Amino acid sequence: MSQLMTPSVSLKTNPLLGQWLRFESNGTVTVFTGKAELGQGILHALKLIAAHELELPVSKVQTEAANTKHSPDEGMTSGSLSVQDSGLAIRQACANAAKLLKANACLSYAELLTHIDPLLPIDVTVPTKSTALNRIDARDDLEALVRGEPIFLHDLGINVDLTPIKNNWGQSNINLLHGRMVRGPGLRCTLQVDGWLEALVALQEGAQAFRDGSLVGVLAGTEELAEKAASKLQRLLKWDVESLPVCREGGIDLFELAPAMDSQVFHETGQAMEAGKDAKVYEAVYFRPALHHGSMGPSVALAVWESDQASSGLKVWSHTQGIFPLRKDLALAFGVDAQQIEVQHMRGAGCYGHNGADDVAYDAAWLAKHVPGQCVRVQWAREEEMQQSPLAPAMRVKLQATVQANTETTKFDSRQDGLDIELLTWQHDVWSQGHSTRPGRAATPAFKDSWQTEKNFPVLEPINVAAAAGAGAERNAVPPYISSHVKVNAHRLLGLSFRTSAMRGLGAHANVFACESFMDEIAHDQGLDPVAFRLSKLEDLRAIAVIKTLSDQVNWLERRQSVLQKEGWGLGIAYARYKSKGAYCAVVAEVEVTHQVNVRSLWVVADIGEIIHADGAISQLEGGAIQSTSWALKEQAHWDAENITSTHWDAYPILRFSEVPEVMVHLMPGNSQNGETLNPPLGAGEATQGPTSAAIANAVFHAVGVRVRQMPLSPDNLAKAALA
Amino acid sequence: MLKSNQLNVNGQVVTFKPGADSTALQTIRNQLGLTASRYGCGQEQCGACHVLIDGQSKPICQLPADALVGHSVVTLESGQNKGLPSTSYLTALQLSFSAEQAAQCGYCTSGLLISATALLMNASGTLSDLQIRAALDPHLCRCGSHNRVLKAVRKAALQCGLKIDDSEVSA
Repeated sequence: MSQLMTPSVSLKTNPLLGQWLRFESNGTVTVFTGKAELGQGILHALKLIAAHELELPVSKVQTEAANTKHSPDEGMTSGSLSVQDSGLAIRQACANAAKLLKANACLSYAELLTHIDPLLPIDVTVPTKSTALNRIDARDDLEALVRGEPIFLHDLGINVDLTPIKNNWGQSNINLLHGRMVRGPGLRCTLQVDGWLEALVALQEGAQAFRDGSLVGVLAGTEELAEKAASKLQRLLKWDVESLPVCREGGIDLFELAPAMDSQVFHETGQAMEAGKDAKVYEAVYFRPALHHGSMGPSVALAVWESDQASSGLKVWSHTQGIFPLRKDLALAFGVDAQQIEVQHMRGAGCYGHNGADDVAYDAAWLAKHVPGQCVRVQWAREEEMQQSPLAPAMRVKLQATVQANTETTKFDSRQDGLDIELLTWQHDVWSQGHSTRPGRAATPAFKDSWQTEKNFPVLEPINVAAAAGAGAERNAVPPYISSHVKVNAHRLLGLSFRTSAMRGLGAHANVFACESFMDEIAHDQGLDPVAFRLSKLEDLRAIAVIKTLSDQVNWLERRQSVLQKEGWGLGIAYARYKSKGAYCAVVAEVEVTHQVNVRSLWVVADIGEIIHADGAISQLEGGAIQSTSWALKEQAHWDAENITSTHWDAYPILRFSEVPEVMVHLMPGNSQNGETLNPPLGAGEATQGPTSAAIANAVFHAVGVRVRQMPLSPDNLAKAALA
Repeated sequence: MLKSNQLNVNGQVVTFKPGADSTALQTIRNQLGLTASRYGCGQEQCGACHVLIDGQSKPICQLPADALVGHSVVTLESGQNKGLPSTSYLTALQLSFSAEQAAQCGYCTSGLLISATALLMNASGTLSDLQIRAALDPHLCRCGSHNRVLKAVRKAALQCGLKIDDSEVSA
């Protein structure tokens, strides 16, 4: 089975064979990608695709970490798009290479090297093998992880014997200095300049301090000295602090406090039918608090400037999600040409969106600019990671629906199935700050610390990306269910002090939580089974197949009854198609409600289109379900009048080993209904975020009859909902 | 008898500069170049920096390096030293973590392996699921690899001749 592919976005932007592949003299093939390894195993999946098309053992294919000098520009590693963007481009490049190998009668790719021009455009008409890959080959990078090898950016350069640093002009083992930023006491603050000189006098030997406007940092030969100098300056310097909006429960009243709001109709289809006398109007409001990324390793970066000349090169090592967007904003921030800058990606701790990686890269480059020729390493502390990284915004969703039950003409069976229940109107209103302040998208830099300098770069207002790119706060706000009239209004909160940006799933988490809780509420009120009701309102056969498969796997009707035999136990379901065009995913949660919500089991069924690396996809879906459980049960950022106060794990608890549920993941086959062609890959990394949280809330209602519409489903919010 | 600037790390005597770092974690990473122990929070709240101190799994992100003098310290890099009592357990765990693909980003993996090593090494006879979870509870994992980690630890425990008591409900 072979098929012709539509060229991916990445292939259109990077059309040359040499942008994706390098044929080595030993017969191996090196694959380039602009996508970043974030712990999700993407490099492994890309390698599998390449090996399959090239007809080489996986061991003969290597990937190279993304670098602005030689990698294709593929923008961000985000939105569950890496297999679609990079994978399909690599697949096409490799199919082309395999064809060239045969056409030139070469025995190895080393031989092919001499036959082709690296500037050869990739022939997009070459069919790819595209047999269902479904590879189970283990990720080979895990070997290095379990041996604790120095493969993280956090390890680079701190001990030169271990990982010598090479700058981009070939010099090795350059001197390393440790940098730390000096933070004021508030989230937004301005330095009082008059205390600066006295503070400098108090600085101990071996440490240097630098200031540009309200941005302050220190450099020293060891982390110890840099940390001591930074905390000394922190004590001595005086700041004016801008007060934060007084706000409860992770932002539940931000919607009333926002200085301005941009309200738009995001989507409208159909026309409202006239409601009959039996029609019933439902309305409910749901809330998701502001969340932290909570990456296990605080952000780190290294940077070195070649010289103090305006034309100086800059090399930056970063665990960013986008080496090219980072380079663009570094060029803006320092007023240099992007071509002067090389960004080298190295892996950091797990990344779930726009965290502090880009910001700390700016910090390192800013400090390094003061000491040309010397490499500067800046490592954020845990507090900085929690306070300086963008937050995932608080979200409020109001749903209204008019439901018509045609009782007079209804047979009992179809009523049970929900077939004679019509959704006449469905209105979804979402209030949220924007979900992106990513670098690379504005005319001025996106780094928070660059806004502190005397260059007066404006503070960027968080935006929502366009609907075609999956939207931001509005992601998954359009329901998958048939309704005569659907309207989605999006209200973007403006002028708030919090920097918010993309985190795994963006708006999909809160929107799916709301939509799927609401469907459950309607089903319950109408006396319908939640699975049957959903199935009656879906047309997409793949959606129906996913829900039916899940229902069969858990033995839904039987288990839904039997689980109630145990006090406090319940079963709930939720479904969503991520971004309305990505992976289909349904989740059943089994919970035990005591004084708190305990999630005991999760069943996940997903249709991710063609499966490239089955175990990797399962791992992503499973990890996403566990992370979503943590968001749903425990997480909520908090702050006082000056600063974010959820700065440590005791103030921002996440799910622990004693609390994780069992997770069973099932993947639907990747081929289409007729079995002859493959469905295109849809990505797996974010599909479980929304459905898992919603399934938990629905299970809680099934268990104890309490509808919790405010996340987290903490003992407090559970008690509050029970009394409401 | 070791001097005050000497440590016993992974069965070897190494010299360090006392007072050059604020924490034992910095000394082990920056001076000794043993980077498997990771900085995660600096508050003994996440488990990423754990090492074995006299056979017990402990965080070292707040501990001064001087406090390690006179104790046996074992990091994840100790796998080469077959003479250490922990090595056979660590090796079994590394193999099972790899076989179960029990990591995503792997930043928490070192700490988990250290605590699991201490658990297996100090266990007698039988381990329950609750004991395994309790041993790993000081460790945070953000990617959601927990279930694979639990499975890998159970598997390694069996390989090390321990029994797993399944009778307890995980709740």
